[in-house]
Amino acid sequence: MRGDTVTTETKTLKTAAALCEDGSGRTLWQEMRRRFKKNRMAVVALCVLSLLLLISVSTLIVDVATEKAFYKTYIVGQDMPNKLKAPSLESVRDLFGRDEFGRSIFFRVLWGARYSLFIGISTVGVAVLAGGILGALAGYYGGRLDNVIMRVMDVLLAIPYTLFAIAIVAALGTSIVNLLIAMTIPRIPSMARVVRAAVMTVKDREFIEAGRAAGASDLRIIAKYILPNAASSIIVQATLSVAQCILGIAALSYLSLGVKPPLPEWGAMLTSAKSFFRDAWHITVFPGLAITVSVLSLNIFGDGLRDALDPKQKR
Amino acid sequence: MGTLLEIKDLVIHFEMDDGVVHALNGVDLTIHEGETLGLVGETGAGKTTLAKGIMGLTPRPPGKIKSGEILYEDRNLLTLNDQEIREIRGRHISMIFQDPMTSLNPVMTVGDQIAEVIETHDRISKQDARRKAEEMMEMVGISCERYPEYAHQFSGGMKQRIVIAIALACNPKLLIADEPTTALDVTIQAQVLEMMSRLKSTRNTAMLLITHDLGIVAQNCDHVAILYAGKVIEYGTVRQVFKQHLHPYTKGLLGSIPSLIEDVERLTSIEGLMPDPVNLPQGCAFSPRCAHAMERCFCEAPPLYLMEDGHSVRCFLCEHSSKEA
Amino acid sequence: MYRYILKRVLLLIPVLLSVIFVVFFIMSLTPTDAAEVILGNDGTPESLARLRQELGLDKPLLVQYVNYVRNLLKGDMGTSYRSGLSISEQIFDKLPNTMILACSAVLIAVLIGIPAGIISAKKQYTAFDNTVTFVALIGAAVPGFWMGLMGVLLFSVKLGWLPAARMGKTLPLLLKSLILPAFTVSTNTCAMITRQTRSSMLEVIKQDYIDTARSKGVKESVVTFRHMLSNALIPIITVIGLQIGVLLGGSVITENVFAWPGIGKYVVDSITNRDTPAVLGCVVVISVLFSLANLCVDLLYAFVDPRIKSQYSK
Repeated sequence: MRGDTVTTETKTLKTAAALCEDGSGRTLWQEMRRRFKKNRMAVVALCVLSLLLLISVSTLIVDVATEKAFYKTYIVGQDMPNKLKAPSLESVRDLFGRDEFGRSIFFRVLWGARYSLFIGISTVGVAVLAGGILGALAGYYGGRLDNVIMRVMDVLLAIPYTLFAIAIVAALGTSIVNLLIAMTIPRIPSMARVVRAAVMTVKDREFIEAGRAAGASDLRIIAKYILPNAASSIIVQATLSVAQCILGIAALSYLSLGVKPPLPEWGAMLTSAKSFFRDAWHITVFPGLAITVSVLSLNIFGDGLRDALDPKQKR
Repeated sequence: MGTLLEIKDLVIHFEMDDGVVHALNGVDLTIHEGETLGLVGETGAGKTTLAKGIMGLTPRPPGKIKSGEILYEDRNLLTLNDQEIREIRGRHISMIFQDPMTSLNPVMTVGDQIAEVIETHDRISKQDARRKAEEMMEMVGISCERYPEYAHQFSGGMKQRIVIAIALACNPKLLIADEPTTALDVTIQAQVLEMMSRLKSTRNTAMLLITHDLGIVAQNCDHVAILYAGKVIEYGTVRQVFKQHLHPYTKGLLGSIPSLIEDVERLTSIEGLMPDPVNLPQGCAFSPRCAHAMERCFCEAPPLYLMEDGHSVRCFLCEHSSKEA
Repeated sequence: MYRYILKRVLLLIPVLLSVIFVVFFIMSLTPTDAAEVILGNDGTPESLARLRQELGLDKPLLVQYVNYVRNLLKGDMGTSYRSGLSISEQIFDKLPNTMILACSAVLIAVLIGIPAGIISAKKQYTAFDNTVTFVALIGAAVPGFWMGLMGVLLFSVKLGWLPAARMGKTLPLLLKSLILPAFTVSTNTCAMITRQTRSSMLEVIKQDYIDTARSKGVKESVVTFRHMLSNALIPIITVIGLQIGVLLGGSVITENVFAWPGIGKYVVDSITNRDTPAVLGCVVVISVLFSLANLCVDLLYAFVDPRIKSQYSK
């Protein structure tokens, strides 16, 4: 009996895979990669994102390898004689100039990548997980459970995102952990909505029916058939959410409600810069550019991903 | 019967990313006043491109009119400026599109959509335009009380009646109907067609009826033109084309419909598919599928041979029996 | 239709009560002791306890919530721990300034975004279209407050055309001081509206009814506005509705960049002062405004799309 279930399930899985194949015999994944590669902007964005990830990881490695010696000297260590020094091509350290404490803005921008990227990704990761579970339950079971979950999500969505985050930080106090919580909770409702919608569109497709007829449990159906098929819209939404998160982290840090100076977070760098930027333009320009480039790349990458995954929606 | 519209050597190409689509490759066609000309062809033969071309609605880019003339009352429609062509559209030539479900504006009342064309062309007050639009609604069999309703409140057949009312509101001389009944139920099809031919004969409107349904052609048309890969391959009266057809493609087309009178063992179908309009064969476009193809058919495109009584065929088989030979 | 509006307004009440509860709950998590904040270092254990009792802080959370809502209905949001002033007076003093900023930002975003999107879609793949698409992409990625700083750098510091901060007192000065903050707040929204307008116009341009309209011989401008835009408007309105939240959040940050005396500046100042009831009041007021704005957007659909209207009337 049990064996029967498994073989039937394998068959339905194959059907599901077959549904994804178009006439050319390519799988959805190959087709997606082909379409994505045609979008030159998205490929460039992906390269920028990979570079950012590389920077975040390698600066971490430098910190560990030098036991934070480099960090202490160049990132937070002050060098007052050189304060507000203009950018110059003479040395790497002066590439973006020096800030109000004589610290290298170039190094600080590189070291700041980790905050945006890691907080952004982990925030969205948790939000996807929490929102995903709630949305999947609501979309799959429908009825009263759906009603309860989604009404709660509606209430949470009725508080503007940035304000919600600010309120959480205000209540809990400013620290990186609280920033994480403040960025995550307001993200959950929109994720739940996306997942619910995605689940609802796939849940009535034939291969789900077949899986159910074969006796698979609800959990198994959700985890094995529905979520993989809803994955594309979740991935796209998550990518775009990371972009929004990076903006949120920078904004909160700018208001001194997030990462605090002297940590080299991009938004926090702008806070301390704003008292001096009349005399030295470079101290505000580069951290802001770093935020813009990251968010821009994520947006372009997310759009490219959506176009590649859903050819019908293509402009 | 005078000539109303004359198309000469019309060539329209679409320049896409992955190649040039040769949609129309030299179409010659004449429509006389008050007659119904049937335009028959498979999907992709260029029927809609031709219709939109006459209306000046070819999307440019990617569409490009390479050569040809469309003469309407001695004026070449292709050389008119925007304002001049707008005066022709709706007033002299109007068009019914294939799918009534999508050819009405969903956020505008159907009555206003009829009145809009009247207001555009007749210099009359809003109230008069409304009154005239209501008359048009009654004429197509819809109560004028439904003037302030929206498209989503009508059934498919009703929507097509509204579209017909819009098209005929300004008494055009030529009505282009692009598969006007394909999207409708069979019973509604007959009603709509019957109404169209009644209205056109009372108003002496000529009609270009585009379809792939030969039954509709036999019932409604005076002349027929068969379009294949962007060229007219046979033209004549309904009788000539149905009974004395000369082109192998026409023969194949007629062989693929069931007949009530003759006893046929099985329906024949034409082998193969229409050539890809991006890579048309060098000679006759039909040659790869033609049972009678000769060597020359593959390298040389046949001209249109004029036969008796206006019947014309684009096939080398008719070279010797043509009047010019 | 009116019954539908009434129904929606009534349905809003439980949502607002829940929103207030959520905010109230979050703010109650604060480890800050109100009595300590008020009395500072002068507090003795007895006086602190007495003050807590006076403020009702010793009661269960739910009782506190009910009391808060009851007072809120009377227009009372408590007094500031720091200044001792009435919070509702403070908020309604500053609310118009925030509204001026937010409304002008919406106006700018709509007035630039919709025409730019329309022209871009009608001239798809031209240099204009590419430029608009690119600028909109960047506009959606730029942090608003950094835009503001750059604006100050260029227009106040380098060119000296516009004031760098503070709200002007007379109308001409007010308008002059409004330009930079309003454009700052509207940057992201304007970009999103442009992108949505462009894409929904491109969707509509392909529709058969556009060919029908053209085949009537009406002018291209009529085709564009009466037939294309009115159909493209529904998704655009959705984006505007979603953006109101972004915009309110953005104005909180922007007000702090430009020292604009609105609720956004007040809330951040209150956080710095650990003035919990003031923060609570601000978040509640902005959330209520946001919900009302969303309701208006929902009702607006009915006027734009007869299909939705007929659903409502049922």
